[in-house]
Amino acid sequence: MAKQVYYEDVKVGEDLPSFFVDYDPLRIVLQVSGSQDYNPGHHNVEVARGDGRPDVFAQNSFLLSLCTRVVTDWCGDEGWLKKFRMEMRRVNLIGDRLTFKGKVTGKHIEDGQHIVDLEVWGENPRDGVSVPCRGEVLLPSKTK
Amino acid sequence: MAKTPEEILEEARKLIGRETKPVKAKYPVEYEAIRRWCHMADNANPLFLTPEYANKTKYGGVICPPGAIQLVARRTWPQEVEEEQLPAVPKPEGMDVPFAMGHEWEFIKPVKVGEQLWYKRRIANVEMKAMRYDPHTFWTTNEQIFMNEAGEVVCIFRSWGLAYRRVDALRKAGITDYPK
Repeated sequence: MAKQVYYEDVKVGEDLPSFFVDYDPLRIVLQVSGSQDYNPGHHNVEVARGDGRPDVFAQNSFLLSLCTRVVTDWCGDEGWLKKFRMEMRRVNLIGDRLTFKGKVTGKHIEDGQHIVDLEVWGENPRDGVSVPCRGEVLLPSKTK
Repeated sequence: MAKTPEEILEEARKLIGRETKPVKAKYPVEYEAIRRWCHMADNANPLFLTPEYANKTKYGGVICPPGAIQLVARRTWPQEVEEEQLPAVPKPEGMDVPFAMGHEWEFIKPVKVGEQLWYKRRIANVEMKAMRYDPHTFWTTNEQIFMNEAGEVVCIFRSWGLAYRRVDALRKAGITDYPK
């Protein structure tokens, strides 16, 4: 697994490792399997368009699993994602290549906890940032 | 005479704070549900997938990835137990297009495979905002509070979404200058 990152080694402004997934029919099957959300808007184009969306669109838990993966891929086994906020600002559609990124926006110590603030986001080719997120991670300290 | 959106909102806001009784998850937390959650995101983290690896970490076993608690804690098909639902939030006529807008999570304690979870739901807020597709979109914030067998809160999930009217419902309500 990823090398353990420590609070002292984190620099404000540093980027977290990014990755992408292609939101194609196979990914939609995995989305249903993983989320167990059978809302037809996420796999039936007629229902999606009937609700005013241009096509089948990505499901929230699916997007959450990807956005939080940015954090857990980076923070190591000793890190703990304490808070996470995600907003669905733009629709992500079948056929999109979705890219997930993050960066460190701050760090502070509070009540003995070493806290790192993160911005994480998902992007699609049409809109750029479609799923902006914020997170707080507790990291281990080398001093403990 | 039909109620105005403001009057309906006042009725809806009386539901703030209403919560369901705690419900027991259908199954204890399972490896396979977590594996499927990880698979949809190509997440190969052994902390979530591999007992031999996770057993040697501070958690002592595979833990639930962030966000997957909703998946592992739910009562799923078949619904053998009538699950108490939150009361429906009253909305203006024809406001039947929902759109989830955001989530917020507080991950308080790790959850391990084999744990039995409980959850309850609460209406946390209702408000009205003008958006480009409807001048009276209703925004509802709900919370799901997850607890372990000891009754400790392990996670709080807060979600907010809006509901709006399609064009025909707007016109029926006498609104002709929306959507913008």
